[in-house]
Amino acid sequence: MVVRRSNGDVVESFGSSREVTAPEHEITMTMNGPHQPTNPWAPLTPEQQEARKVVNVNAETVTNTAATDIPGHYGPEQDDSWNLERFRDNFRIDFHHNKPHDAAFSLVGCDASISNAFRRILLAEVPTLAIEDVFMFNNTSIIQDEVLSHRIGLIPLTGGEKGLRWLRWFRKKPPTDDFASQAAYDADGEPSTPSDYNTVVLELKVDCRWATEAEDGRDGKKLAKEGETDPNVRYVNSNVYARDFRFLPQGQQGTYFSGDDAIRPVNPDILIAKLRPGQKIHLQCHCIKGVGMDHAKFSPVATASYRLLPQITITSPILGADAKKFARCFPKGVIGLEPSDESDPDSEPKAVVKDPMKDTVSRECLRHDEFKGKVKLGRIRDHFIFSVESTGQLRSDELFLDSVRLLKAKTERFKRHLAEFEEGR
Amino acid sequence: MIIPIRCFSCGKVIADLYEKYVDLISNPQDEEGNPMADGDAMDKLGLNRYCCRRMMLTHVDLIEKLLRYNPAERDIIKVGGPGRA
Amino acid sequence: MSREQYNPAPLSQGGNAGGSSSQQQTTGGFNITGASNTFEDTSRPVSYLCGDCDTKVLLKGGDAIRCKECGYRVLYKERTNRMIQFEAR
Repeated sequence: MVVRRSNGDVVESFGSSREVTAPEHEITMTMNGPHQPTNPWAPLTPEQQEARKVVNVNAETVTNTAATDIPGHYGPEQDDSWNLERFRDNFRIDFHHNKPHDAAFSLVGCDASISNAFRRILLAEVPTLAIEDVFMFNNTSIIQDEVLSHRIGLIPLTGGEKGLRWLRWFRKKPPTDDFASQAAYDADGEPSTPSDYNTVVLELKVDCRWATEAEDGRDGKKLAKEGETDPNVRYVNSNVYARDFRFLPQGQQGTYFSGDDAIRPVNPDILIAKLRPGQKIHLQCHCIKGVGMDHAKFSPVATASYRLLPQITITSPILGADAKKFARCFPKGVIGLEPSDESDPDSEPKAVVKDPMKDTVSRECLRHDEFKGKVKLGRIRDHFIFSVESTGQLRSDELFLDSVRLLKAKTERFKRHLAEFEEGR
Repeated sequence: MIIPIRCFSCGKVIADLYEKYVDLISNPQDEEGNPMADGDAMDKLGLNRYCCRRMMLTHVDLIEKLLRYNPAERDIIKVGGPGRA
Repeated sequence: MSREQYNPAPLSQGGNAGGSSSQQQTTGGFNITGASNTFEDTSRPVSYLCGDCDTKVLLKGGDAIRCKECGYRVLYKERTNRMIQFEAR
């Protein structure tokens, strides 16, 4: 963007001009038109305030991608300074659905850096309980020990929320080849010993055998000779499921994890291994608290993602057959058809935007000549549609609150370090 | 070999859905006795993302073949054919 | 020297070719070539599994390697009864 000064010098400016760059079919909003008052630094008009919130999605390009709410961006008279009151008035959270395993909500009126911080904290920094050490006493199954351990580690666990929050970190010795974390580990404190407040013990003991008349009411061997092929009929315990894990409460854990609050797999039907008669698995696991940045098994969410709210603006009416074609350019429910004349229900149908939230911004409508100049696509820069899909240890909405708490704690730590820095420590 | 516990890409637990999936696509599901199509079965199980769908769609359950090499069952397999589990 | 008399030389700590001194024998229980070698104890029977009929076969040093039930000559060693620790990673 080029700004021409009154003395004729051309000054390259890097994004600090107020002119909104727009493709030809857009309504351009330039301040320095012939009819405009000549104050170049006047505060933004309401229309300009709206336009600066929109990321333009054009047929081939995406423009106006950077946020401009930086103090001084539009000159001294536009007040963009950050203000708690204003933030509180503008900020909003709307829930779309809130199920324990899947929550969707809108975060309106905050910067991308903040919502991205929440997303990243959700993925990598909210602590959860997962199996970390496996003590293999016997494993004659065809799944190798280390593969079985890895599979077991990935099983999400749950239990009483109060107990899970009561559990503390287990300081685990870092791998010997990671010298940085080794140094950090040696620098502070004692290594943890497994105790009731930092380690949960689970046991898996499964033994596969033929079904017998005495114990199961059917003779698996006989049935097999007669042609029975279903392993569930022929054998007992041929499939090892996550529900076969037994929780062994240690010390105080009995009070926190009793009855419905017992530590258990979230999905009891997870298939861990398959066995045949004579094969057995006997192991104990130590579960500790960890974070997703260490290993994905500690991540409390399957996905935590956000997208910007799509905006569809029909700038001149789309009528009749074109309207139907227009509706087909979008996912179902985004575009509706209404009579173009409100008083006459039999008049030609007109395309109206019903629910832009459902749109995927496929830009299909921009490929057709009949809609050229009639529609404008965009995304609202400060409207984040969050989707948090928990693996089940904690509720999805609770997880988001955890991420807020964690960000707050991190900010406070940062401020404390800054203060120490200023004091010259 | 055996169905992975989680989706490789997004981390959703899928190992508990595999047996249900196999049941839906191989046993009669409607009044005409037809099994469900793969895509419909995955929709029903809540596998919405294409990363989780490929886990089901492309998995080859080799463990069923490897399980047949079990000496404890040799006598059954020897007597004649129906050892095929 | 006949094959039966051969004894592998004990690995000297830190002095082995290619191995760095940081690779110590920390994982206990696998000191195969050390002084406390119990493999010479031929009087104690060791149990094996028949490769054909899956029965337990107890063999002492000098016994014929053969299943006592079916005569099959492929025997498998049983899995160790020691506990092995793994990381679930």
